[in-house]
Amino acid sequence: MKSRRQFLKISSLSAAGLVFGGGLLETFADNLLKNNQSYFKGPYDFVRTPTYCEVCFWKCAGWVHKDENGRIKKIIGNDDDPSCNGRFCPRGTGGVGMYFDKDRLQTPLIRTDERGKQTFREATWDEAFDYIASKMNKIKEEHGPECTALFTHGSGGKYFGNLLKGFGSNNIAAPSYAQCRGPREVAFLATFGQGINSPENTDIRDTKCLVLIGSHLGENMHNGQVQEMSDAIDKGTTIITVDPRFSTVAGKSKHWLPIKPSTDIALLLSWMNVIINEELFDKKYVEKYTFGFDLLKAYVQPFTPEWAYGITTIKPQQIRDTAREMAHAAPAVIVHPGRHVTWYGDDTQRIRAVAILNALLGSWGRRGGFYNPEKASVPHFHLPDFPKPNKNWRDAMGGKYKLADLALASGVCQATIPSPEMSCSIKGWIVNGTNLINTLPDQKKTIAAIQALDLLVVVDTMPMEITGYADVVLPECTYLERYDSLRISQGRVPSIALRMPAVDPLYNTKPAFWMARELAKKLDLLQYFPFETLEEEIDWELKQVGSSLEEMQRIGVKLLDREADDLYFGEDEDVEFNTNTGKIELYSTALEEEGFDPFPVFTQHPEPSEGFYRLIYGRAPMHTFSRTANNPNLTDLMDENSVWVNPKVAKVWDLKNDQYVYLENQDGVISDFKIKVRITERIRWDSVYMVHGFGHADKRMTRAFGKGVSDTQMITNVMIDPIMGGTGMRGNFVTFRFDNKKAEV
Amino acid sequence: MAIDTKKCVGCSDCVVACQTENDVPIGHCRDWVVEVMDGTYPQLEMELRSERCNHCKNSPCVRCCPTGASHYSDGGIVLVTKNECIGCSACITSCPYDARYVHPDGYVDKCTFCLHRVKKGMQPACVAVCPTKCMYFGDLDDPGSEVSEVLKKRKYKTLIPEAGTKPQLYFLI
Repeated sequence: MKSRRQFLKISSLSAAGLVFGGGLLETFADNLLKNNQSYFKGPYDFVRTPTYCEVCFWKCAGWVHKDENGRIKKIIGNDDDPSCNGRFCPRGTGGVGMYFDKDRLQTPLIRTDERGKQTFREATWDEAFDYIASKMNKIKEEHGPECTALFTHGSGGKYFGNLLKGFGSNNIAAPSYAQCRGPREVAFLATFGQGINSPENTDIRDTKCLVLIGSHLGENMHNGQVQEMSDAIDKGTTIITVDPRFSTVAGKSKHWLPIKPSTDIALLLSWMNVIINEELFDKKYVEKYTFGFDLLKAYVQPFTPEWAYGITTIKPQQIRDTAREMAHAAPAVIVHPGRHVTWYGDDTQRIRAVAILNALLGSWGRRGGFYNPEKASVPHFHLPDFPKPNKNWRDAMGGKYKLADLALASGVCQATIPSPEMSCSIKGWIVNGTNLINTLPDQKKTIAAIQALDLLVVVDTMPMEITGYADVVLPECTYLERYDSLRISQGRVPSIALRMPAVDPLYNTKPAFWMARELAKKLDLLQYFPFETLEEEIDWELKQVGSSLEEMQRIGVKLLDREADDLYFGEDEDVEFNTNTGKIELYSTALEEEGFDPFPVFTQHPEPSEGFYRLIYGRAPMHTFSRTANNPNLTDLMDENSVWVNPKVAKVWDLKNDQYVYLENQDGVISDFKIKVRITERIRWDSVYMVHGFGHADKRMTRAFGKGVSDTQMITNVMIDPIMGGTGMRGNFVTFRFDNKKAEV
Repeated sequence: MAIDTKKCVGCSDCVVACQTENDVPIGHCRDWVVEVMDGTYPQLEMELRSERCNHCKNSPCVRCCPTGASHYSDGGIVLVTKNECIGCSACITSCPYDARYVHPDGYVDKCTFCLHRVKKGMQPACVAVCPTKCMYFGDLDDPGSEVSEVLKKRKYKTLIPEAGTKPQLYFLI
């Protein structure tokens, strides 16, 4: 039990003196809002200014409120935004801390010593851009413009993307694909001819049965989904959670299946076995819409609940009960596709099994299952054609991962490490808003790639580890200090949202749009940046859809009409799916064409050896990856991660609660820092758990430095998904150490 | 106020929203989250609660305050008048819920149910922000209020009722 005293004890460690002026503020803004929708005098004199959040990818729209001194006070959700319904999550509410963080990057930096050492000199923006432009031109002359790449997570990706495409490269990758949701997209594309995308098209609001497999909603605060799950709980929805850890949502589930890690495919196959053999599937739906049912029926015959019991440790009766429960709720049932799904390297196949199960239950295109989302359509200003690159990162993959529908961040990293077989060796990286050191698994490989570069430019708001390796660091202002392109969201109702600056940028920081455009000037690529400011571009775009910048500054969010068909399939509606057969492919012809199994196959994965435990990692609701680890408001809620240990394991190792230990993985990697032990029944005895994103090694992040262990550092065994190149990261095992000296051999 | 433990996910949004709304200095809090576990793997139960001042009807903090700074305000809300508080901390010792802290400026601070917002017809910041909508705030004396309705329909408990303080936070279970 966590008491208030403990909370205070923990939080006082990070007690930085950030005190807002004054006592209780009867906010000026609130008063005005009661009488008036909004109030403004000039561009920066809004009492509340619209924004959409940049703390995570959900991008909830909200209002930044300032006090009477013009100081940012709080951020509140926009009631009209379907992504948040006026309610921000803790990270969004704590987004103010990004602005007030005194450890922010303040001015452009140019490196003066070898990579990895924090030796920089301050530079002017002009100097920094000259440096980058001359290096990029040199790479272009010596290797070709294709030998540059962009890694991005966040709004700035669009501007640097245009810059790079104009320069002549299409190596543009986000770790959110191959390190996160990629297998899910490929699996659903292969089955339904349509990916899941973001926000997910799960109709949780109206579901009667929600099945979560390793997905810990409530700990991952994907705002709209958490809100809908809560509404569903109110309505008495059955939740089934499959997780080796007693997650928060497991505590709210009717059925918790404490599965042995890495055996999910066996469970999914046995559910199919029950649903088919007990004739619980949606016969009309399966007959009308799907391809390969008879083959599937024959295929799943051996996978009885009794077979799965020996593999998963889930009792046959529990497998039957839960399968029946799903069928009973169908079609208002969601076997949730998850989000971070790169676990064991057979992830596309596992999510294929999820997709097949949904198809059998007839939930795709049905109320309470998966709805047909619609993207808001906003015309973009026509840019001149980009030059066509002669090669890209795929050339270094030897024809593998053809089904990947987006670039692989790990693939670009691989294509940077020189090797005799490779035709494209990338020489220059721009990294925008993603701390690759803690994002890509196998840190040694990431650093090897970085050391082979001629140029590394990092654009960030914080001195993340990756900045330590940069040749040039460009300090971006936070999302509260800048315009960005419109948020154009899919959903039941498509929507657009505006972000505008609430205050001027602190220090010598600048928006990414400005940086990319200034670089475009130096590289003679200004034709790809026809608007001098983002305001002009946004205004032009808004006018195409009958709005304007002025209107959006007042309302923040605008819902657009749905143009396409209904949210759900009609009764007996004929539907053409975007697959080879035009049907929902239970049997995947696309996978078969590429030489992969047309049905998901269960394979046994390695297990921990004696004294080692499988490393499972996840999210805490108050943090986003490693990017919030130094946020003063959010570290006040949680300033370090802990390693969750089952009491049986703690007894063997004589571990005590709150004791600090080092971790060592199967490859002999010992953690840089110590981690606090949390002894809890909430984790299986064969696994340990920790929250991702801690254990920062950069001293310039004063609150985050040395706090906890970086799970990424412990992930050196990467199980690559042969279908799309996802990096499976759950095949790592750790043991406890009481010092961090390498053991004598 | 009623708080639905079945919906709370323990995200602490209520804590940070209170901090920004009420200028609570970092390192302190007026509300907090408690996780209670029961059982052994895999037979487990968990309860998550967002806790704060119980605004007791029989408040030991009001009774023991030597200056009268701690007092009952409109609708029974327990408040501290900042400039009457001498920071003696007797109230902190007397509170069975540990709901108060000493502000760095020397006075004792605690949850006000965001009276400044309530007076304007708004919900307290924690209630308004909660992504799970697990909190219900309103007039318990009005049988038609949402909070009264939910207490009629659901099972609930109060914390440490044996202390005899008549706490006014109800946890739906």
